[in-house]
Amino acid sequence: MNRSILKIVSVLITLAACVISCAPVFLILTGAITGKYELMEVLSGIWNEQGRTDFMLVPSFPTLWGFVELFLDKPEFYIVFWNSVKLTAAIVLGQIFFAVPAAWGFSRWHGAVSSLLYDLYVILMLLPFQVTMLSDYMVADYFAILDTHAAIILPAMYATFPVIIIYRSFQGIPEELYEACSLDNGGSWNMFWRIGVPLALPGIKAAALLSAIEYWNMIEQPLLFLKTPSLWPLSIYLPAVDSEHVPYIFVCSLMVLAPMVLLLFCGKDELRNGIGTLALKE
Amino acid sequence: MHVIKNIKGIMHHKKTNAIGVFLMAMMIMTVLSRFADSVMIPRVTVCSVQDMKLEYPVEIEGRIKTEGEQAVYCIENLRIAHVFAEKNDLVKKKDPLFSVDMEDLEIKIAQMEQEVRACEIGIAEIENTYQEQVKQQERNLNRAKEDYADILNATQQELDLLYRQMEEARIELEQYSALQPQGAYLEDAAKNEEQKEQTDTQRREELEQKYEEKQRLYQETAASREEALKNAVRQMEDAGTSITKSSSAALQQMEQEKIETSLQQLYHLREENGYVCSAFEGRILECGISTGSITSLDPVFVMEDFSQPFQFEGFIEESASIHVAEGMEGVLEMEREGVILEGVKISRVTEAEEGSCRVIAKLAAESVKKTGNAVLSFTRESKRYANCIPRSSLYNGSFGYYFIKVTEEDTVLGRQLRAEYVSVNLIECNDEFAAVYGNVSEHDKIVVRASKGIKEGDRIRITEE
Repeated sequence: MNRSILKIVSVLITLAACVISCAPVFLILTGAITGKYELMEVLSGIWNEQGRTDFMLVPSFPTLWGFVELFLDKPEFYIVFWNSVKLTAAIVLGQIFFAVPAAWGFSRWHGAVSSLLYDLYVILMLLPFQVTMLSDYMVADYFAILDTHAAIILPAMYATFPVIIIYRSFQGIPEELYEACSLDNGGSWNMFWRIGVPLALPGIKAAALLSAIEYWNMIEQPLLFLKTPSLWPLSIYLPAVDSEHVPYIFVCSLMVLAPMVLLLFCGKDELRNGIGTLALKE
Repeated sequence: MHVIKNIKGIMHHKKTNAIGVFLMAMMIMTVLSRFADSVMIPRVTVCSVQDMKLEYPVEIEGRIKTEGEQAVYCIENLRIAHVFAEKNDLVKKKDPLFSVDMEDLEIKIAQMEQEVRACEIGIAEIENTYQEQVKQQERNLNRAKEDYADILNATQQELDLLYRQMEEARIELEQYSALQPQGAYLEDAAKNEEQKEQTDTQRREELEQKYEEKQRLYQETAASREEALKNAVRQMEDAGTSITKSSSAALQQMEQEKIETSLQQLYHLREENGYVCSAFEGRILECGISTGSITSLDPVFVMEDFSQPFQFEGFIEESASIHVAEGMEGVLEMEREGVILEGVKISRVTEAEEGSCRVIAKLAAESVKKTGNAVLSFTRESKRYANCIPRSSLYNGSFGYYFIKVTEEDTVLGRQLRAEYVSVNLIECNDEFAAVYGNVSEHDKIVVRASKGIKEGDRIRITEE
């Protein structure tokens, strides 16, 4: 009896936490189908810096006009959207390109230097962007890539977090497989390409997925390195939307959310497998 | 179990494709959005601010005419036999204009000759009368002088006599007074005081009365003489007043001369068999006679004299006269004659009838040989203005004049062109350009035409510059 009550309570608490955490998404959904004037009235506390701001559960007059206007009358939305796609894709591909060999190296060569380097990677991973911001800026300025996408892509390609994740995936591969490969006269490349990468693919995918989510939503780097509005990604375009275009905020927010939701929906198995492998190894 | 695996596989495949579909959809929407944007964005034609003078082309329709018009007169009361020229006819020198009836002309000549003779007789009569009056005046004057002399002599003698008598009476009185001593009187007074006193008094009174009477008589005579002389002088003056010669004779003389002059003209007309010919080459402007009509004091013909210089005369509305000034040069075109004259200078601009101005331009000798309709075209230039914009780009709103300027702005879409309203003050304008001052720069791009209405801040696209 007590156990069943405890179970019910725990379920209720979980549901409540779930509702609370999903509330912003729900508000974005309802806001996206609410008319402009209703939104201005409801959110007057935000725009006018006085009055009351309410939450809408259901709009009085649902409309999709915000979507129509955003999709057909806001070409700048597509500029920032494709900027985000371009930045995220380039960063993720770059990270995969550099992180997989690096992680393979850490997993295969053991020694003092390798351990030192790995510790250094861990330290770098722990450093927040605010710490490396100035040095990043100086380097970008030195190479004259400020106010270009390269200023964001190049430093991000060498991020250490994917290396750590992929390293753990390589570590999870049984040593016997490598030995069997070497017995079949497989070289280092064959060992990496035919044994390591396929078996560590869930980890690579998880790392790519997490990087994609992180860099899709990045704010500090574009704010710091990009001055030209046409280079902005979607994440910093949103604050530029003013009160006159209040419905776009919700529709834009939804459109920011949509690709990542889609990505997570498509890659949830890979994410679970990759992170699960990591947890299992830990 | 196998089916479940297949479903999961299909699901997984579909999930992977969903991202591709999403991205593909976004690409399509991007193209659509761009297309919609290119359709919706106003396309504009722009131009630059110009440093220029505003031009005001003016065309004045008018007529080429001679500087002076000549009137042809004829002696009045003559009957017209034939009229050889009509209005707007071109006539050469010595071309017959009209002829008078010879019979009527002879009658008129006879009448005038009689009038001349009547004048001569009248003048002679007036002259004779005047001579008679002069003689009569001389006679009257002589008589007045004689009368005066007679009065003067006669009254002088009488007056002298009276004067002597008065003096004698006075002397007698004085002598009597002197003969009466004072002492004797005193001695006798005692004796015969009363008797002597009465005698002396009586005698003295008699002498005094006599003297006074003579004196009064003298004075009266002198006064009457004075009066008579005054009258004689007046008569003399009246007689001596010169006779004013009557102006009737002179008037008659003038009338005679006038008639003789007319008579000479009639003689000349008779010598020409009654024909009146043009004295110069020209065009008939007005004709005041017709066959059978009687001439009057009014001109028979009004003609343009082609021997005189030609000029252009045109009229323009008063509102347009601000563009016209003396000394401006233009092009004169006589379309019908195919004549084009350049450098025609306006010589005079005067007010004409209400709401219009007359423009005169004198033409060079030999440049035009005929009169007719013409158009004088010229262009007035304003002073140079640094900021001139097309008139089509200038709007008049509730806050005054403004134009739309193209500004560049960095946006998410890249460097975009936007419309900015700029308030200006209008200095002056013609049909094409307007001179303005205000927040205008020579580097500004001005929107001249737009494919649709433009609001402040709207994105625009330049299609033509």
